Amino acid sequence: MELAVYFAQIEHVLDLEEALRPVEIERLPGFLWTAMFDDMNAVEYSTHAMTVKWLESVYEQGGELSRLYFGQEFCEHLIPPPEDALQAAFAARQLGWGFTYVTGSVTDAGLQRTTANLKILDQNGLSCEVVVNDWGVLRCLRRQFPDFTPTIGRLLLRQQRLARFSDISSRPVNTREIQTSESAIRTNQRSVLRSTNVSNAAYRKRIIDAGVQRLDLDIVPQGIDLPEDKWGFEVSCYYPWTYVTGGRNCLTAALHDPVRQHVVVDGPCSRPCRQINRTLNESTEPSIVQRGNTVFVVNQDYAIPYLDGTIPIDRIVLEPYLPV
Amino acid sequence: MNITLGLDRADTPKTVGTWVGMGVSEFFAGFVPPSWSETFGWELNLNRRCFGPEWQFRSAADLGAVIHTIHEFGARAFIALNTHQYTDVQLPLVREAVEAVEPFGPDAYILADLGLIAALKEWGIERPLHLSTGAACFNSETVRFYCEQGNIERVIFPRKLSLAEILTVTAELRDLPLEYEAFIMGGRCPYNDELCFSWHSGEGQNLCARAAAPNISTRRRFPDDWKDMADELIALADPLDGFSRDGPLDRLHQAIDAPQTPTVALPPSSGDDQSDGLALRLTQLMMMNCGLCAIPALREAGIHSVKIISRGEMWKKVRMTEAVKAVLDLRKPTQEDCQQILSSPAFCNHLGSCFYDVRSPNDRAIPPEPQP
Repeated sequence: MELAVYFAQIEHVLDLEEALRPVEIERLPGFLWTAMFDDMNAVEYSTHAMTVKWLESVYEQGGELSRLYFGQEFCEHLIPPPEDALQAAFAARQLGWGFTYVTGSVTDAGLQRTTANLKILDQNGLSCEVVVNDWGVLRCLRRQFPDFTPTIGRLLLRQQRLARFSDISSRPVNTREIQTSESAIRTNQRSVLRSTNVSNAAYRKRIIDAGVQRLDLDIVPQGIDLPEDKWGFEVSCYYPWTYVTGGRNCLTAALHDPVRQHVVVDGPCSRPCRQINRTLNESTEPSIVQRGNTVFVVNQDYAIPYLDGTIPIDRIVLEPYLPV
Repeated sequence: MNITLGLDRADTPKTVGTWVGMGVSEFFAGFVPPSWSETFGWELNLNRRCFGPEWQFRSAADLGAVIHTIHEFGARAFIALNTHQYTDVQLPLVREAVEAVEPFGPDAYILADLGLIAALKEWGIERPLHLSTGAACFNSETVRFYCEQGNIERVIFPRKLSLAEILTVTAELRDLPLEYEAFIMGGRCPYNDELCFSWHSGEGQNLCARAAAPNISTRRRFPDDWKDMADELIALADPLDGFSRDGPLDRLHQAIDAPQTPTVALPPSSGDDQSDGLALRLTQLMMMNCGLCAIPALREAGIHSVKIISRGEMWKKVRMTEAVKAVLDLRKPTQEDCQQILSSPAFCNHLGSCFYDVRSPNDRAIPPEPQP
């Protein structure tokens, strides 16, 4: 199993030792733990400690990190400048790691910035794997940067997250004007929810023709029926944060311009999410945390089949911090 | 500019005549035969209306009669098959539904799944395709990509593009014979439809409704040395010292609760003015979100049709259609014209009512410089 680490901010790449330093918060007395991690904005940090501890256990079993993911999937205002993309790629090379540049869903303006980053990597002989979350980015990649290898990202793999039909959900099925039993409907729904449109052979042919070799999945409560041959692809999964939803409206950007909470505003964003977090302040199972414009859920025990090889993935992409 | 209106099972050939009389020239509808709902229920739907039967046509014959009437009026009928993805388990029933509708000659299918575009081609379906908002056409290259994959006739823009971004896409694609459609009335969604992988259901509250609730916590992110603070706490001989002044916990909370400056005050009116015109809440219930003031800019961008999305909510569609038609009938509608047609200053002044940001650049807040 290949192990990659994913950062969205260059500061973490440049201080990798600190970013991956274990912190034993489980040794804190309960009341201090509560005082330190007392609302939903702090879940990122308690999860970080758990994630790094898991990484330590992998090290103990002889595993090691061998790839760096860097880039921005969720907000085009946060696409790194070309110098950061270049620095991250060189950092990976110095470590003897592979490098994966992560791209997002973008407007034409965002596409220009994405292309600029790919261009500087290309000019420096740093052709690499590129996570594609937008068909327009894939088209650019194939036409302008044929040496780069596209991976289909989690925004294009639209398996339902937090599906209400998973074992952890007790939400009822809507049976209006349906004669079939609720349990039979639920069974049929689960078979769909545990799959993706990659199971469609006609679709597979299209993306294989486009040069795609790898799929990057999110871990979901209902799991996935991944065939042994993985539909002919290599398959990764992100851990511990799963993307649920997001938007171009942003609760956090609205701190500086309230209109941004509701509609897309032309012009630059002041990126208050680099300092401030705004999230739904409700304790949920599993925990839901919003960073900037994006909502994540932190994986629970249902991640185990992905991590222990039961589901035949071949790469784990570790997210020590929320990748926004 | 045309009006595209969603139909549901409350619609009949007779109501189609009424809608055409009100100025509607394009219709879209969902079709969910019993074979589908008895297998997958409502939540995993053939289109993006997962709430129950009221939103759908259930019988091909009923839908066929409506399509026939639409064509008699010289209008167009589109069928929504715009679920984000269909798996191999679902495709046989998707094909069954498509083959049931095909004899009635719908003018296009509305799609979001590249896999379905590929499947339709394999099934020999040559009908024009419209890219749903779920297809995530945020940029011109994405549209070109889809055009290479199938018989694309129209792009329905995501709700979360600005007017300038829409204009950029249409300008970049002048060489392609495409039609464009934009949302004008109905729910705008707090998140991006095309990138939302949470659930919608007719049962219980949906995630977006919870996230839009006011119970939001706003705090600074943990400082870079938070691990040192945790280590200090762990090392304390007396854990109660963790609560001492200038101790690690104190420093942490001083840091994360520091004022979040600068914040911008809300615009002068935030919806309190209900003295004149229809009450804010009533207009919200009726219109949800409104893009009437953007019609001049949408015309400039080359938008062919504006979409009213309220399938399953007949009571809203009448007022929405009347309002949109009234604005479209004006050659150069101003914001004042639009507001007069809605006759609800409280709604028009309420932050969050609009579908698009129509402020002039001079009226926009200037964001502070990003901090390093």
